[in-house]
Amino acid sequence: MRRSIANLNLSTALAVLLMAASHAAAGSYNVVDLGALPGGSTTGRAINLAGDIVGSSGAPQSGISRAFFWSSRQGVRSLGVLAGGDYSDAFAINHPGQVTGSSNTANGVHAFFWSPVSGFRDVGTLAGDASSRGFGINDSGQVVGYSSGAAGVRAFVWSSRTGMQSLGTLGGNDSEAYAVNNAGQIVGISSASNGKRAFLWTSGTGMQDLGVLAGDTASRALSINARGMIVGSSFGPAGGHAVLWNNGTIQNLGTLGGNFSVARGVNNAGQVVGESAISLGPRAFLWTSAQGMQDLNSFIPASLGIVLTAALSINDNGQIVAIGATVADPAHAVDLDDPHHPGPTHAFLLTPAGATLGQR
Amino acid sequence: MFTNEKTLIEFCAKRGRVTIAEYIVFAMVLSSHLTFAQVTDPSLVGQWSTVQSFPYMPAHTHVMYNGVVLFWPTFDVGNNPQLWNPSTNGVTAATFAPYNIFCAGHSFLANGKLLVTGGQDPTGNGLPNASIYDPISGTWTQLPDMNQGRWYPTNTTLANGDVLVVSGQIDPSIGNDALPQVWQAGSNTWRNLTTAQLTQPLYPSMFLLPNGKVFNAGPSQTTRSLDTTGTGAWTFVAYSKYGSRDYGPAVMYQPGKIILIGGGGPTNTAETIDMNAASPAWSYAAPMTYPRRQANATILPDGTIFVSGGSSGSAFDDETAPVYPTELWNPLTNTWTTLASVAVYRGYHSTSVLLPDGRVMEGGGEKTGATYQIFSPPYLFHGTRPTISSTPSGGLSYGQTFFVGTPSASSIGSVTLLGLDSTTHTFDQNQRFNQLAFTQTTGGLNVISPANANLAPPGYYMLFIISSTGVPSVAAIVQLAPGSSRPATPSNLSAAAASGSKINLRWTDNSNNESGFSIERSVNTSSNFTQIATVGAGVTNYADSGLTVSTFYYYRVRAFNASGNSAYSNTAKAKTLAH
Repeated sequence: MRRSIANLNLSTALAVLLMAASHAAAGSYNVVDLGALPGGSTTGRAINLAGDIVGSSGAPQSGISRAFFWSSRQGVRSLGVLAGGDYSDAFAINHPGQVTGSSNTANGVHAFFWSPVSGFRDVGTLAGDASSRGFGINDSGQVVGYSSGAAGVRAFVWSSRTGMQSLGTLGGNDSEAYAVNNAGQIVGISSASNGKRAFLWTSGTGMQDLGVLAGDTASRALSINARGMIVGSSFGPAGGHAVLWNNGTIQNLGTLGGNFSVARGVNNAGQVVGESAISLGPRAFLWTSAQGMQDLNSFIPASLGIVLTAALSINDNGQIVAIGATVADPAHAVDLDDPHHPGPTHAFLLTPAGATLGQR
Repeated sequence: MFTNEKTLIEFCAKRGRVTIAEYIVFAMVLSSHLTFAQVTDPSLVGQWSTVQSFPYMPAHTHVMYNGVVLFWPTFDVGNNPQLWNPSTNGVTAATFAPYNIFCAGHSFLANGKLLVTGGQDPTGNGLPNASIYDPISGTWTQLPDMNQGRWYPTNTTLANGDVLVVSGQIDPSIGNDALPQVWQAGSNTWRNLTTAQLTQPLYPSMFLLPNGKVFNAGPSQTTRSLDTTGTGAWTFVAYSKYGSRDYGPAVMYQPGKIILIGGGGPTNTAETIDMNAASPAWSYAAPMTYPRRQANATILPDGTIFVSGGSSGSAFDDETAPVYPTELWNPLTNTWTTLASVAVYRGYHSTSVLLPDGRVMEGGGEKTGATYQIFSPPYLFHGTRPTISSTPSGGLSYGQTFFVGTPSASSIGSVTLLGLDSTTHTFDQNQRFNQLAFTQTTGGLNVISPANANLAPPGYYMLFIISSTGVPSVAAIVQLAPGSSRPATPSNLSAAAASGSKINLRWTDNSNNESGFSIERSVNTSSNFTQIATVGAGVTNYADSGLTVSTFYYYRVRAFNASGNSAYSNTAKAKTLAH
């Protein structure tokens, strides 16, 4: 069965469909505001092929944050917190709808694994450690993140079958893993003798330094697709730039005009999303090899009163989860120079207009 | 109009007879009028200056030990630090920081420099940078980067002069930085508290406790304390009562005692906890008259807390419901008093700081902009202010008795020591209050500095002497020296004339580490001392000879060693004989 955006149940009180029908340009998007848990602020971080989205919602500046799961049928719902905890975040969702993130406990923070079947589960830590966080999950249910203890901070991979194992570092004192694909390739950041470096870890090669753009001093990888394409950022005196690592080469994806951009998600078509600073502040972008970097705000009607400040994830249907602000928000008379600060952050699902969506 | 009770009596006399109902209505009118009269009397409600302008909004504001106020504004113009001199009211541009310091954390170091952590990159995400601003040279020194970016972190200066940094958002993909780090002043390195990772809200309210741990009082309802030794550990303490109090100030009004004020909904409630108790628990304090969020809270020299600005509206920064009246909380009586109203709305990104002269500057706010007002609290309208004529020239050690010269010694009712404010987003990361024990002595006060560095971390402080009627002096800036091994202060100095040209001095040696004592003298006055001699360690007498007959000579002594000088002893005087 194929499902189009027109078939989505939009009756949930929290989901507001803002149709972009008047925008005739190719590549325009239908926009759905995901809504929010009490507190009014939502950051959507990851989207799977079914269009389910996870992230954090609440009033994060107040210490109220709950990992959430959003679906078109049920809207935003809280995944809760671990026992004794008071703060949780969801960072990734896989094809079967399993989720990872982190939740405070009474005296620390632990990575969690959530599934519709098993519910909320504490992933634990590396042996002897005190805390952990989960940032990535693949379709096998492998979770990656970091574990922290007296010995330092270590990137880990976890599965319910094998438990948690350390991925080591690039020679420094700490590492953090942010994404894993279905081949078990893992990316993240590690300290090395020459600074902070994006890494790629595979079971065969271990942890490898992905390098930086010429002249830069640090880098970070946030996402990897099934083809092994990796996106993130390279930082240096000239600012930061969204980058794509592909087949051993690093490519500068440019900016929307300033000297600062970050790539946050990549799908299997090689489409990349992130944000780039312009004179009016941060703006969400979509990058393709054919079109280069484009401001996603140019694909939604200005009449919606929305400013998309960052795009965090894109699935293979081209659906994007982005964050931003609404100008008309009564709780935040947003200044367009400053769309995401300080008031409620809105999370939006962007679905290509007229798209025929594949199923999960 | 009825101006006083006499008017009421006269009215009744003219009427000959009034009913109870008439009397009640009349009394209400009179009461209302008296309330109005109180609002305008600065000795009761204080007084605000006119609204004045700054070149930029003071969104991050710091009172430096040289008396100059450093501040900087918001967003993409955040890296425009300004220097405001309250004495001259002049403003000059400070040196640009190496990056945008908007949304940074900040607290003062033992040497009076300002440690600034994190900031905002062009995409609005956290910066991993840290820098130190030197008030004297006006320069920035960049430090090693922190582990990740931090946007909205909180600094807490620790007892050994190191600084704890917690929270701050990295970016939307990774969320908040869960790793507490300690900047180690001695080695200029970061120590990671890797067994104390915790997701904290932005700009959490953190306080160094008398037991050396750091308490996270809000805005989360779950409150915990952090042991910063080794790789760190959190301990659950208690749940606060109201719930989340975002953009409500938290203040440690006495060592270990914290009050949460307003915020959230917004609410007018306040609640306190005594972390010195065996089982600390939150309990409601008296509520304010006005609900408010985005207000500022400033400890005044007398230990009361001045709350100003904020909004009672439901929106995040709701200028449609500004709270103009200010309020003062007295921790001794747990009562609030309404004070004079601000002229404009002070909301999100407004700040307030206590100036060394006892006034309060409040300014900024996104809805109001680059303006400020100065508040003169009621105590400045209660008569002559005591004056401080001298304080120790060097740093003070902990538990040290030191001499504070004042011609007002006999009228002093209390001596207080306040941290220099460094505030943003309704939370002052450097605010601190200590009441100091003291005794009156000739020409001044013998004051005892805080017993240890948990009560007052090393650094510069405002020292106030306050009259028994509640009028504070202008502050003297004193330094609590880190790890000071300065000698203890000599005491019981006496002077006795032996002849027309000789006076014998004796004193008590209270130190076991002095290199010697320096003796200072002035002629016919208790000021303008000059050193006349030094003597060795353990010596407790000196004969001053070659003097003029029938002349008053004043003396004071202090111990010294390689670390510096002690405070001065009491002043003693004697008159040489006539022949």
